[in-house]
Amino acid sequence: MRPFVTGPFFSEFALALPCSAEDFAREMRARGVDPGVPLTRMERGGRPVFEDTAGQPRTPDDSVILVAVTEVNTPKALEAYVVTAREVLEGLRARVAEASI
Amino acid sequence: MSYLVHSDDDRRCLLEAVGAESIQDLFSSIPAVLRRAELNLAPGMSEAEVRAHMEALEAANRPLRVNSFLGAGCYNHFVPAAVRALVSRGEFATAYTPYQPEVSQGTLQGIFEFQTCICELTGLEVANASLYDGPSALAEAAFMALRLTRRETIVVSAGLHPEAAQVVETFAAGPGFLVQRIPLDPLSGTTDLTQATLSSDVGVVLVQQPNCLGVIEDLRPLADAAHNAEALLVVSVDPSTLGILEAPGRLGADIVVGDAQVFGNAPSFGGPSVGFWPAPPLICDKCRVASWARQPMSTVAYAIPSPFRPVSSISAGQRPPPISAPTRHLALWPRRSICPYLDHTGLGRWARSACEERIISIVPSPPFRA
Repeated sequence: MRPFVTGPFFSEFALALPCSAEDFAREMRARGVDPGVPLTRMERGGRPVFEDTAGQPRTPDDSVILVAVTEVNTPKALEAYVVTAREVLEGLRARVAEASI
Repeated sequence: MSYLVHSDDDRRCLLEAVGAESIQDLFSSIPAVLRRAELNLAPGMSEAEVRAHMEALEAANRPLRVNSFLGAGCYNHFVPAAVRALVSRGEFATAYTPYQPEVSQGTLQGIFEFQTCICELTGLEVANASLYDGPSALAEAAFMALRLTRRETIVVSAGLHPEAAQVVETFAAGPGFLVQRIPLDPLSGTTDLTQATLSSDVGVVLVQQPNCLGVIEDLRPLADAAHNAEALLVVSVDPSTLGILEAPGRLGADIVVGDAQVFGNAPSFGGPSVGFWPAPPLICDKCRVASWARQPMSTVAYAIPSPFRPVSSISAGQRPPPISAPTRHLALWPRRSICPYLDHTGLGRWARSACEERIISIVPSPPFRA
């Protein structure tokens, strides 16, 4: 997991995941954390939200999730996000490894 | 106001008066193919059944809690209890603009305070009394800029929320204005206009602050690039960031729009919301002059979106109550009141006004503001 872009951000940021953002969100929600909005849900007319100067997606948008944090998200909730995300990503990775055997 | 339903006799009398056989006759001007003969409605329910049904729907909700990180244009902020207490007062519980200023001074004063808050936050001098939502305010601002520059191309940053861009495109499709898209810098995620060539027909550049990836745009070079092409810069801003970020009006933005949902309004499936629209007086004056010169009076309203409430001039350090030119009274007060459509965002506006004092006051030394 890494920042999708490097610019300074405010309240909201995009994370590039090593898996489908929809899968990640579903697993997170099952553990009580609504982790943000997969970028694909913001597409219009089938066009990726984020593209390079040639109009091509730089990273597959389906691996990007938009995370908003406001004053209602307590420090404890932020810690829970990190812990849960780690669990979910490890679980998804293990599942991919199993499938490839 | 009490509401009494019409009886069958009432309907019969009314239909006879207008010479119609049935209610359906009133819709005869709509092509039959567009009229649905039967609505797929379930049979009626008793009050107890309705209550049980609604409770079952409510139980299926997943309210936003501390563990929700959803955003993407609609944000979950803390709303102090005072906001709900204030906006639930009876005198605010109508969406409609008061038409009689002599009995509406409290409401009008409230609208004036809302406009003042918007001006303070955005760094511009004139604000309207709200629009439906941020995207419609953005489209209105784009059209206003095209009227001013007398050009027909809108440049949209890819950092604009895609749904807001879609609203602009929908508006532009009618008169046939061209909408061009400028991509984001792939590394930083910011809009880079310095490398773009703006054609001589570009009248306005639309950007969002922070943009749809949450990235803070550097507005000054964007304004310079737009102005070098003799176009205007319209910034769609999240107003809750303006306690810390510099006001776009002080960074060269010509018109600033945004959505005030973040102040005192719950996300609630994306609405209701309230749009705002401030600009410098020069732009308003130019727009009004341009419209007066070119349009019949009935269309002057479209020069500036939504109603706004001026106050009479300030003298000896005292602020008089708003004269508050009544909305839709163009014929009576053409130079003071401009209102293209009814203002339905009253509650959101009050919530925002009630909430905004808090936002401004909790940021004593904003690091990024001059």
